[in-house]
Amino acid sequence: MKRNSPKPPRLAEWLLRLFCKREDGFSMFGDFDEEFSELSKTKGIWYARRWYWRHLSRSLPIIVKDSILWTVTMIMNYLKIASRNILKHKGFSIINVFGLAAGLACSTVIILYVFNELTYDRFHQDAHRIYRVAVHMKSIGGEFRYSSSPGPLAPVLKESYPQIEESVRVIPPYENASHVLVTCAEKRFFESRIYFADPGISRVFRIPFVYGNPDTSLNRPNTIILTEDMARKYFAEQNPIGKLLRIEFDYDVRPVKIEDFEVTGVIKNSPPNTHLKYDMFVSMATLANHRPRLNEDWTHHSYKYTYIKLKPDINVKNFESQIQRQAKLYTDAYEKRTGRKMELYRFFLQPVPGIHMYSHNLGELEPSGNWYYIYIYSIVALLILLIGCMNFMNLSAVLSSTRTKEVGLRKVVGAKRGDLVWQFLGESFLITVIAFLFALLFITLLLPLFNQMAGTELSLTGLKQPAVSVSLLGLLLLVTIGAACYPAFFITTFKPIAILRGKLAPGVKGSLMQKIFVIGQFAISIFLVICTITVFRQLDFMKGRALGFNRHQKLILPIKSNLNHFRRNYEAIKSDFKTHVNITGATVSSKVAGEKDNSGYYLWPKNMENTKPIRLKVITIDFDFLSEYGIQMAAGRPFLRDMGNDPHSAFLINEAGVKHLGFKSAEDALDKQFKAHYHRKTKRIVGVTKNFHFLGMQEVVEPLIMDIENSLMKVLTLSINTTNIRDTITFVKTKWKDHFPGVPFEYSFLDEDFDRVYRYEEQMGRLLGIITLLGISVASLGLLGLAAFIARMRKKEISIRKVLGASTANILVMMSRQFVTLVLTSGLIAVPVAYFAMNKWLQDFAYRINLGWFTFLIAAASALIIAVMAVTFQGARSAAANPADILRCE
Amino acid sequence: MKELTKFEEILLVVIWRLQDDAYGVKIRQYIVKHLKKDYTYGNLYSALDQLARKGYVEKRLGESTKQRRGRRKIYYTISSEGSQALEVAREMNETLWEGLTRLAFERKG
Repeated sequence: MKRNSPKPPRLAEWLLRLFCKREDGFSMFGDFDEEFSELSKTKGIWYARRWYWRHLSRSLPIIVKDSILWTVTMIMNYLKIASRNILKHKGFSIINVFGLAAGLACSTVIILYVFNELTYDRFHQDAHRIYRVAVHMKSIGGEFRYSSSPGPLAPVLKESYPQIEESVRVIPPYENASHVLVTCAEKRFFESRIYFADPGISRVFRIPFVYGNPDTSLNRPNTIILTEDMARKYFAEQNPIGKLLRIEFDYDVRPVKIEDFEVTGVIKNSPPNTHLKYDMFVSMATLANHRPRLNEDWTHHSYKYTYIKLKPDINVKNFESQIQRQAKLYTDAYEKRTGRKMELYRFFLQPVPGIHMYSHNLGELEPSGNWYYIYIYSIVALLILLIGCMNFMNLSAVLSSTRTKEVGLRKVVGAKRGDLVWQFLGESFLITVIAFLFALLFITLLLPLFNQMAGTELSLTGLKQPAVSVSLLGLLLLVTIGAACYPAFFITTFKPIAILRGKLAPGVKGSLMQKIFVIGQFAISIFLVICTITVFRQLDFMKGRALGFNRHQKLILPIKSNLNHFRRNYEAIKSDFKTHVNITGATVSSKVAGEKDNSGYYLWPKNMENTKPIRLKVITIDFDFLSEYGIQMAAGRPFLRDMGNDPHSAFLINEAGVKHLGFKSAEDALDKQFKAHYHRKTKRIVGVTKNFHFLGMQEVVEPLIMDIENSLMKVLTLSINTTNIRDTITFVKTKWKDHFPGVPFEYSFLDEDFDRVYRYEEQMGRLLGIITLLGISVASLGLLGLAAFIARMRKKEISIRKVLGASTANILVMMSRQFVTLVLTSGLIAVPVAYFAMNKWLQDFAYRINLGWFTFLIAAASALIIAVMAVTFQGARSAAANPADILRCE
Repeated sequence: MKELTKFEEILLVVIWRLQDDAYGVKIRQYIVKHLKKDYTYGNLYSALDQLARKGYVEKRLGESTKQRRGRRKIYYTISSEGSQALEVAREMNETLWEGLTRLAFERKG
């Protein structure tokens, strides 16, 4: 008998069952089998097999079509039910979607931010082979790590080491090159992202060229390559190749060079995530003309950056130890020049992709990334997402408990548990996706604001990076599963008969979970409130009185061109500006508050030039500086015109300087004489100022020395009053044209500039503020929803209580009591955590506020008030209802 | 009532003819044998589903045989709506063909 029933081809049968998803598929399979066995009897097994295959292949298209039709029908049904549910509970759905959207928007932006930070310089072709040569040195002045290296290093390395594929020097024209005047006919702008570079730049970094030849474009002197944006800025839409740009290099110590440059290439714009952000590269041969000793001078070190690209498979450690031989070239030159010994001087290689996050040398091209803030932002984004998710989970849990009947019925009609799980997962995915679409909308609207706040260049195109989109997708799935897990995996296990008989009262199970979620949400909110208040209090403190100078109503005019004219005639220029009625004062100095600047004097006590000098940061000022900036004296006198010889004979120091120079008190320091290395003059300390925090209060105030040294002056400060500022600025502009013809007029307000010192703190404060606000509103909306649900569940109980004589107040107290306990509990959790976290944050500041108990009280109280308000609002509605209406049906 | 398609009409007639033996294999074989049309089971079941959804046929779970390796048959019977529809179709056909003899048709062609 067995011989008579041959089996149909197994693969074909498997295919059939794979595609035929219909419930009564068995009858079709049976038909196939029956006909197959008949055929194999009458026409032989091979014929039957062939028939099976042929028939299957002809049947499949229509079978597949049918089963797709069925799946679609079921999905349409799920969607219909889902959308009905969403619309039926509009309020809850809005809360859900809003909460999730807020959380997702924050996390998406943070993901973009974090990826932007972490992908710095990873896009270069062969990025792993590109290194920057940096220097670790120790001398009499101290121990330093510099990003920069001596000028001749790059060509010497390239010549002597076959391991190097290509090397390049990148050199900005001056230390803080914010003022290179570029002209093309009528167009005159100051450019700051302009560098001298060797021709190797295009081979090390593989910068894509739009026009021009990458290999030869920087070979000759006076050639320049521009980014597309720059080409558009100066030459509109024309092809700029062969055209001329006039550039004015106003070297501080050398004569001004004004030369014409031929455009030999147009390159793609600098990506936002590179530490070397460029607009123009000028050929190194030009700089070699300006500074003839560029290629021999080993002694000068500052702001010359050396990049090398190694050949593949070079042992970096090995190579690094080999190039130490070249260090001698520097140490010899140094010892010859200064007569002092260099204790340690070695080169080290920094992988270019790691520079942004890991390198914290002196003289970085731009401020390095900060892990600290990456962590803080990630945590904060996670917290807000958590609040949104908890809302979603809580509300979908309570809502789904009203859907037990639907689940029961679906089961009776034949749905398997798996189907139901998929249904709930699908629904929560739908809501998550809707929320994500809203989140994208938020981001599109708010990203420019965020960029402005955070000083970043994020854009939604970042979402296209595979890593970003994968992590976003993961986030969505996580949220989906998290939100759906209660209904999907708990309700679906119920026995249909129990559900339909009404044995399971909705909302009974999971109330512990509800409590935990409410506690969690409010704990996070209170935590965020405490952090926000603390950050703002600290910021307020750092911007306030304690600064020691007045930063309000100061108009800053940096002088970037015609410096000689300015330095010789600044008193006349000042009084010319002061002729306007709304300009109350004017002063000049070498720098103003908020400007990072390392210049300093090495000082020797009078007649003790053989000893080790003491370095003090210097700021050169004029007679009016202290009074204009409201800086107080601690001892002695300020610079005075009628003392006659102050510019040549007087120093001022600040209180920190007193300590640094080793004096016991301010009075002690008076009349002491010092000689400065810069101008080789010996001057007497005539006064001591109180400390003032020009660099903000994150760090201990720097020891400072002040004198009147005209050759360093480069900023003009105008004190203005607030009446008719626009008119004042117009006046300043006309006067500017008189004194600095042809120089673009640029000005800023000191308080705005100075606030940039607190950029990170400010950024964090605002971000925290926004997120806290979002978090609290999402959490209280969630609470509102939950209270509404509970009020609905208990409306009969409330009505009976009212009938039995309870007052509205009684009912409100009854309803809020539970939530008040929850919020108080969350306060108990949040306060210690916040205390710990904020204490840690504050440790980074040299001058900080005390964490008062008041902050904690305010945070907890505000959470409590919001919670009670939400509950009372809902409770009042149910308490106000007429018991007769509610109880009538019974 | 919607008109039947030709294939639906054929199926209904075949089910009618087969009476108590109307299940997949028999229906298909009848069509192959008498009408020389090699419909696949895919087409067949898709069309039968349509008919069932329109309420023209009823399904009945049948027995299984060894040949079917334990898979049960589904028998189809025509419902009253089905026979009504069939009646309409037949009338339409007869009205359409009335007076035309096969011979006359052949002469014309």
